[in-house]
Amino acid sequence: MTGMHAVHMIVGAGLLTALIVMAARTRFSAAWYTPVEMIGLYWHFVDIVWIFLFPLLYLIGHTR
Amino acid sequence: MNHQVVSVKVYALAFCALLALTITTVAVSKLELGEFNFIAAMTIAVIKGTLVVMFFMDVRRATSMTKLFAGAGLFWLAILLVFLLSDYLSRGWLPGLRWL
Repeated sequence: MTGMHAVHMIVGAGLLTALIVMAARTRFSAAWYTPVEMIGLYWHFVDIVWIFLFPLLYLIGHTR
Repeated sequence: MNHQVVSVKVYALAFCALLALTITTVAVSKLELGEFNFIAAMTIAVIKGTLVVMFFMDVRRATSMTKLFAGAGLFWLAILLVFLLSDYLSRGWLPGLRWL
């Protein structure tokens, strides 16, 4: 599970890097910002997975 | 997609709420509550997930169709989890059948 999550994280980091480069080149405007929305949704999906994985992996059954 | 811009304040508040809930879930896990540790951790995780979906993914202001699809996704995930757990939790219930 951590491995799968790491792969998603690496993909997300790559996408976010591309997004930063595109934003720096002022590719986005109020008329067109679809990649920002799409990559944002993907990144928040990875976030939600971690919200559930963190307590399952580190908090449950690790008391004491 | 909505062209109305969400203020940074809304995102900052959602982020602070998520941070507070993370601290809460760690604090609760230190308590000895038996099986309620799991229930409490998952309840807080569901609240945090809802915050992310509603505020960061902006489903809060989305169209009914988007909400329907988000709900359908969650429903499908629930089906998968129910079938997974119905297998996993019921193993060894039948005596004498070792392969079950």
